[in-house]
Amino acid sequence: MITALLAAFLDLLTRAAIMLQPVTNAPPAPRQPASEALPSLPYRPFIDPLNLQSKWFLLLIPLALLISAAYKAVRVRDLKDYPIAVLRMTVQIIVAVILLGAASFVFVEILIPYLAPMPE
Amino acid sequence: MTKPGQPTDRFRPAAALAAALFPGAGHALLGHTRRAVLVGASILALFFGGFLIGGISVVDRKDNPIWFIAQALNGPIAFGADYIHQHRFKVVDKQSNPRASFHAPRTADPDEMIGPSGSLVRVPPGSPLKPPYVKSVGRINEIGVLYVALAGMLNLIAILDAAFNKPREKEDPAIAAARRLMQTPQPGSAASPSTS
Repeated sequence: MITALLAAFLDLLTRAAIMLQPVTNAPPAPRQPASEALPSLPYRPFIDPLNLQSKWFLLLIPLALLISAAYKAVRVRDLKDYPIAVLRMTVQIIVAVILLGAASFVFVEILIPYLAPMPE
Repeated sequence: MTKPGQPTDRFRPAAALAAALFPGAGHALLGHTRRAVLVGASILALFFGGFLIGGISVVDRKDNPIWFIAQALNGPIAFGADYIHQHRFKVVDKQSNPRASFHAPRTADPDEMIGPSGSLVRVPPGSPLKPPYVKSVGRINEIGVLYVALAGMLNLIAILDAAFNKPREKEDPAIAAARRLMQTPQPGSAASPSTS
């Protein structure tokens, strides 16, 4: 938290320094590859994306949990049943997504090649 | 006695408006405080979870207008996030076409940053300066956009529920005291198993 605040403060300082520089009509500097121009960028929560490209499917679990939490908060009659109802709906969503993925795999990888095989 | 969650036919515009302005406010207006907290917390967790995953670029009225229809159902917080994204984080590139009368804001490249009045400034090589934000791409962008859009759609359900829900009636103190008295176990009322 403190490091994030410090990073935001330094960011503001550097922006202010750039804004105070006199504007010149010099031609823009030639572009450099991003890896050379920016060797390391600190992560800024809620502004920059998380680096989870290879594990994106794990984000479906909190998604299912939060959907269930919001939906059951509206729909459940007695809030005593709320935690169980949320857990049950979360499991239902996750199992349904896994089954849909498996069905899609069977359809695309097995059924379609069987029904319409590619010519040799 | 009214049970929360039981719909009525009567439309309550004040509750609908409150729910549209802030997630959970409609139920809070009707007196269903615990339900309001649960609705608001879960929808806001989805909303800010999308930002945490995909960054501020997940709400973009200009680049994702169709998704923004669903995201706008979150209320003013979605419009505020889009305003901040468009006006505080995008750059105006006047250098590429100086003769143009209008320059649409765009996402800064990795070697660019915001200068005075949102203009584009090139970052010198090796500088520690960084762009205003990194635009999310691929699956992470899709998941982040989906989080915020689903928060909006769930808020629509909450708006409709608040609009046709009964307000919580205040219980008569005498009835409440009698109910509490009936719920407390009386000494000697529970049959204890006799041991021989």
